[in-house]
Amino acid sequence: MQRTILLILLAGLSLPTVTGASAADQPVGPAGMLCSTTIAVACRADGECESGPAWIWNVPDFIEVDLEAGTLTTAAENPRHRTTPIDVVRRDDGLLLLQGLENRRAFSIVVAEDVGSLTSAIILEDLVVTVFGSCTSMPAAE
Amino acid sequence: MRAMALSLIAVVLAAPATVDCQETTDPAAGQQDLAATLGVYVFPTSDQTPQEQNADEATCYDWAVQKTGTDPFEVSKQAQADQMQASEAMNQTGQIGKGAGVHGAVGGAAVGALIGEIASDDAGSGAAWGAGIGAVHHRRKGRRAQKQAQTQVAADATVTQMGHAERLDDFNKAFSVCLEGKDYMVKY
Repeated sequence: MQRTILLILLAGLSLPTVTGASAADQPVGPAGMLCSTTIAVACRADGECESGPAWIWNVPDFIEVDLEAGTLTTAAENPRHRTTPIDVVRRDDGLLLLQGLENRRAFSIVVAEDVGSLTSAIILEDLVVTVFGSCTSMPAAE
Repeated sequence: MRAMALSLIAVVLAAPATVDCQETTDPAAGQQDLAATLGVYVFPTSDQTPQEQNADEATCYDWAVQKTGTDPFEVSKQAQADQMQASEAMNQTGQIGKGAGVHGAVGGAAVGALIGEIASDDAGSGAAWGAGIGAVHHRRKGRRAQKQAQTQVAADATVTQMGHAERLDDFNKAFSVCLEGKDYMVKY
């Protein structure tokens, strides 16, 4: 009886772990990923910060990360096509790092490959915009 | 007539004059004389009467104006005008940089840059951008320009005020020398 209870408990504990793993199954695919942006925090050099939805700072709601082409682009549904080349792609200890520089803006994007969480910073003179979001894998183009 | 005119000047000068003037009331006359309004202490050493002293001060006032080219009455008016001008200029500096966020909407990123348009006012789809912190970058530059302008205005005003003070000091020297020549003890 005791053994049965123990098994049930173990099964119960392992369930959310398994479920979580399957939901975020390989968020970062070999071809790339589709990322959604949610919240942004912008801070100035004088210490003043504001937070709000990322679009306020003109961050697209969805960004396609093409690791093969080395680009960040707005999703196809976006009426305004925008793209940025990625200068650096590095992987280390389950983290994917993307970096680049465009129009006096440096960016660093970190995606946790196991759960797909996205944390990024866009750095301007006297201003940094930190953007949070999540990513899911994107199938390779056929 | 001249004495009357100078008395009138003295009354006008008395208004912006410093606290010192109030302490230089002529005990004999019971009212402020010309020297007092200039912040100059005058004591008769040869038993001159208050009337003689007033006349001597009027004479020396004219003489000092001629010698220095400075009329304290005019300097006082000029100082007030300069102060108003500086105040106005300072108010105008408050407008500098206020449109900086709007100007940012014109220049900036190349069309189609994803990262390059973040935190930029010129985003085609970023209509709400002006309301967000996105404009802070430009506003900060605007504030920098505003502060520089205010510092410049304050510096200019200080230089102007120093110029007025120097001219008045020069006048008082000449005025004092003249009165000393007429047997008065003078301090300012």
